Amino acid sequence: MLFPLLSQEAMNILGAALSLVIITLGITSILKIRQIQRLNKTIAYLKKSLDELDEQAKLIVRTDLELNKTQEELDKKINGLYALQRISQDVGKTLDQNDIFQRISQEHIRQIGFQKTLVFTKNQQGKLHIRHQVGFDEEQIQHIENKFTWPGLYDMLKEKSITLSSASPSQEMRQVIQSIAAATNLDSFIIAPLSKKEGLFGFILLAHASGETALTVTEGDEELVAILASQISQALENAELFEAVYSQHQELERKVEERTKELSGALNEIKLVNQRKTDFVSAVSHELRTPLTSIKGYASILLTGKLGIVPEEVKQRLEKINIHSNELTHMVNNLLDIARIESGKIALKLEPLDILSAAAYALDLLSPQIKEKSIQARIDIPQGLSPALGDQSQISRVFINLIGNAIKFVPAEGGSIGISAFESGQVIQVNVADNGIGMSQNDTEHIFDEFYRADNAINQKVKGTGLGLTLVKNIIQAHQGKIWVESKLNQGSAFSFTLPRCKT
Amino acid sequence: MSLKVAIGKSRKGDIAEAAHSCMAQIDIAEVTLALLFSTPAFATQSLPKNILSALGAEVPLIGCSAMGLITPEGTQNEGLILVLTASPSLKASCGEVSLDNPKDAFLSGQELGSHLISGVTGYRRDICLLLSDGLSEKTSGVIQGLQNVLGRSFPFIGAGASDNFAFKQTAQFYNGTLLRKSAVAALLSGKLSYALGIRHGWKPLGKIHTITRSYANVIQSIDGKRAGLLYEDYFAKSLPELKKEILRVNILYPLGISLEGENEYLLRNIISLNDDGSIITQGDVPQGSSIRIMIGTKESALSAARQAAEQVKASLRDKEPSLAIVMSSASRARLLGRDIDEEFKVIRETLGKDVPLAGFYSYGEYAPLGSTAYYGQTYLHNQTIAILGIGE
Repeated sequence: MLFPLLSQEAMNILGAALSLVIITLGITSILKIRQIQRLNKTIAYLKKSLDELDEQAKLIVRTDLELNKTQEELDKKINGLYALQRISQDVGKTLDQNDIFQRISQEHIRQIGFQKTLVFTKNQQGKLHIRHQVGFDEEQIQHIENKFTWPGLYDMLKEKSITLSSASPSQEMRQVIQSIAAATNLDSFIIAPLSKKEGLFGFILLAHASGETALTVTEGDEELVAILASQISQALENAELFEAVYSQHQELERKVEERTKELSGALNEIKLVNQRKTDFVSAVSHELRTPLTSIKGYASILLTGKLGIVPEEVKQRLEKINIHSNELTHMVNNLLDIARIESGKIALKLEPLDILSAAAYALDLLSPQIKEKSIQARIDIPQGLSPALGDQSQISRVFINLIGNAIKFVPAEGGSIGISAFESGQVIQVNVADNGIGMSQNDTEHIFDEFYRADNAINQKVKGTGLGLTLVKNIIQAHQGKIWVESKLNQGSAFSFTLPRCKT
Repeated sequence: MSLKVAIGKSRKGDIAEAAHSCMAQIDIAEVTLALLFSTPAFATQSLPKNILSALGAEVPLIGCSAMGLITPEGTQNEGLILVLTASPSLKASCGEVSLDNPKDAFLSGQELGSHLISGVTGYRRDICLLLSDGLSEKTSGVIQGLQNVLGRSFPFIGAGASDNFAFKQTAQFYNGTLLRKSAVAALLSGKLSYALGIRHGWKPLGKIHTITRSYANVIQSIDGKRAGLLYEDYFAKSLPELKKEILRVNILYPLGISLEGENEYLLRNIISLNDDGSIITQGDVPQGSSIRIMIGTKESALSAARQAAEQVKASLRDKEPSLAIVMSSASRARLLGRDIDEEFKVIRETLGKDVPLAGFYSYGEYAPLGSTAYYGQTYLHNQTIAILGIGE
């Protein structure tokens, strides 16, 4: 017996208690096991969540990396564009080719995202040399210039004439890229052609500092460098055009100056010759007048018969002498007037001049001849026409000459003369028209020349000096006016002249 | 005692322009320390010497090359900036040490520390500004060596000299000379108050992973598998594909080491992915560390910059600093891209628009960890903005 001292009753109680404990323990363990199972489940659940979260974290970093890459590329591009804008502003400020390169500075290059630059251009011998550099020392430049096997490489680049980068995947360009890399000792670079209208003239190379393997060139960089190259090309082209235009302008100015000098020399000579001619004519006319007066005087004395009876035949000859002397005097006087006006010796008495009265005065003076040929003369000048500025006596001579000519050339029957005038801007234009025999074109071109007489039947019959219209022209020109003629053979002529309008 | 500050700069690297502008603001005879930062294009052998001769005085000068500059007017991607400080309470002891030798980096750090201390004996030592070659893997060792001499909790701040993401060579300036593969430092003593702000803003993403095998800055395996697999898996790219994008991956998705008690993960840049599956990081990664893949966005980076500036402001008890030296990771510049000026604006807004800001974009930042668990020990950070505010 295990518990001999215990009564059966006690044994029973103990047994029951034991059973109870066992049952309780059993229930507890079952509960514990369930709890552990639950916890395990939670742990598994948490672990799963954690794994899932970790997967999400992976997604986040991958997306973030891509975003950052894009952002960086974008930033780079924006910075590059700003830098480009600054460079083009700086470069555009100068029209000196050397200065254009000098303005590409360290800071500019860095802003575009590079550290070094080389600009190669062709010199006058057609060979490429380094025109500008940033980020290299003298020794390196010497080395690159020596090592660069230009002819072959240049031809290759010229042939392609495109922007190339060290990161280019093109197999075709690999050889060129490797040659550049070998010659420059650079491993990350972009090279772009500089070209003008006539074609390629150099290259610009932008590079990362050697050893910056972390920095590789991108397509965006290539675009930027291509834009930069085209802007530099443009600036150079502008500078060249400017230089060309400038030097042409200088040349032109020089030529104009030279020609002006020549012309003014010639003009002075002409003036001098003209002056001499005028002086000569004036002197000769003057000298002619004295003997002419004597001739006329003696002929008149002889005609009076005071020196003895003059036979009728002699008288007739003497009268001819008288008439011819008068003509000669008239001619000499005209010549003298022309010479005086040309040399400016006649001072015009400029005053307000009523054209209507001047024309009427001339017609009145010539009315006997007009009546004789039964010419219909008409004045068509408005009453209120502004006065012209002129010398009254001289303008009367103009009218008398022009109307006189018209009378001379209108036909014997049905002749008509019209005088009209009107205002045109700052001048008064006067026309004297007739329905006379008119002139050929050749005659109208020379009619104002000295001693020129149109070749026609009337002129052959009627004597004239060929000085009247020259005098008229000189008078009008002395008034700052113009004179011209419109004429057709057998249809009549119209002489027109202008005089300055008198400012009230 | 007030701190006088003069800042001169030139976009074109014009030494006279920067120096003369400084000289118009300050009496050169009083200057205790000059800081010079220059972009690689102008970091020539003669630059520091010419700066000193333009100033016409032998002032203690340290500085370095940088991919970009922070000036009182904003960021600048080319040029140089010169900062002169003067105060009767400020004493600076400068030193340099070469990292280009087989010597143990820890010993080099100790050597530099001893030299710095010898220059300010008898003064209370406040803070150490360290500018090291951002491409050298020895910087962590130098920091440890320096701590061994100056004290484990002695505050350090600084950053790694950078180039234009060429990862080729950087420059350090020490008085009149230009150094390569070196570290330069200034130990500042006096009664001025200093405040530090350090933040990056990168956020953890995905599961926690464990470094199962590593030594120094080489991670060999993660979760028992070759380390490189982590990135291959997350980005669904093969190793050669990843290698091509290493710079972008490095900047945007560094590894984050979880540190107990710290608000932010300690970031480690990936310098390279090796064919044997190992990952080389810029700073050390202890075996057994829990790590995460980190992700940075412009917004989080900007809000981190604000927090860093707020830290500075809070530790100066809301007083405006007389000068704030800002060292921001080159990665941040790359992440922010065209919005790079926003970071500058956020800092200026927070610190006050009249606070002169000067600094540069760096490869690695050095700053203490805040929590007591790390005793304010200085670590190498990545992707971080570190601000040193100097007040009265």
